[in-house]
Amino acid sequence: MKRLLLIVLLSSLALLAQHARAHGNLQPDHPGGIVHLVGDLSFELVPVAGGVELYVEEDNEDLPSEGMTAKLTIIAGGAKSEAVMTPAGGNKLFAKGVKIPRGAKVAVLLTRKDKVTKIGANFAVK
Amino acid sequence: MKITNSLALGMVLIAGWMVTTAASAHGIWFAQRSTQLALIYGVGADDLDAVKRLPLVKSIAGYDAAGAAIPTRLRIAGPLLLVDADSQPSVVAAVLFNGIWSKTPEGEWVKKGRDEVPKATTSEKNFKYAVHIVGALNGPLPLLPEQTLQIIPVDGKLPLEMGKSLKLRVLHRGKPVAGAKVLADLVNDPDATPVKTAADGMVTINVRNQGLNVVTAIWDGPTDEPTKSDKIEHLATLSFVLPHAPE
Repeated sequence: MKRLLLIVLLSSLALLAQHARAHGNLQPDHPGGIVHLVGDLSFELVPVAGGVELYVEEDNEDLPSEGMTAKLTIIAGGAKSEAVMTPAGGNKLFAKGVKIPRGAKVAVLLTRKDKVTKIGANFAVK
Repeated sequence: MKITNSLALGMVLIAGWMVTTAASAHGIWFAQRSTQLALIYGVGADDLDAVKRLPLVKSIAGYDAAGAAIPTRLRIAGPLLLVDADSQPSVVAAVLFNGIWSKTPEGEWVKKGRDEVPKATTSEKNFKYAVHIVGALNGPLPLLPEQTLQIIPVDGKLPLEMGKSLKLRVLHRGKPVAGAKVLADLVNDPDATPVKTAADGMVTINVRNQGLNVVTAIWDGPTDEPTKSDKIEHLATLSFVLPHAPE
């Protein structure tokens, strides 16, 4: 009985320690997605046919994209391109007709609903 | 009783010297505040009034992953100076001119030149520089305009874990600086004994934090106005973050 209690106690402490360590999750929710964490904000960049999607979570919950915009910057092979990402339902923003080449350096700057607060993330695409 | 008084006087003088020493080591650096990037003025845990010092900021700049400049400003948000760029930067940089300071024979620092304090024991111009690497460093950090004194990671990359060594080079106007005093972390260990750069400007530190690191180099250069200052103190920071483990 004492041994069982000890195991439960140690397991609880381990869980608490893990919980206290960090926010977010680097595992993508979408095929091909790349996740970058900025504090308790999670940016998941997903190249899809016809464009690029961005999913945003805050404190592990979907952050509604309505009213937000993002600027996408892609640098690859010495060339730079930029695109505006617009709300596409739920916590998704979308940039149509954009392709991300392999090895590209991608930057996203999200502007929140207040039109003032900007939060950015940098991605290295393999 | 005389011994006690002498001891007390000595302690007061030492404390005063320590305060003035610390006061001369204020720097600027960039740090995350409420998930945004802010320009900080201070030393150690002292995060001082940056907004008051906005008029002293001579330049603010952002650069993309290819090293091209991005239109970048500082925005006042309550007590903070937030970086406001047109697109997400890979590097941000700033310069602050903190004026000319002189130390009186009594040991007090005043914001005046030697022309106004002729008996000053020292008079110096103070320039503060800051470069921040946003995210990972995936190649050589270029010499940046306005960064008269700059700290460069020699290998073009940063370690992933604290405690690892990091080879740096300190440059003044692009040339290696010998004898620059380098601190591994101005925020969490500002009173550490600095490591001096070698003749080729090189120095190796151990990265101190699994989080924000504010590496600092201090170097005294020649004056450009001998009537007002004896030297120019350049204080440059290179800040970067080693990410913590995900949940």
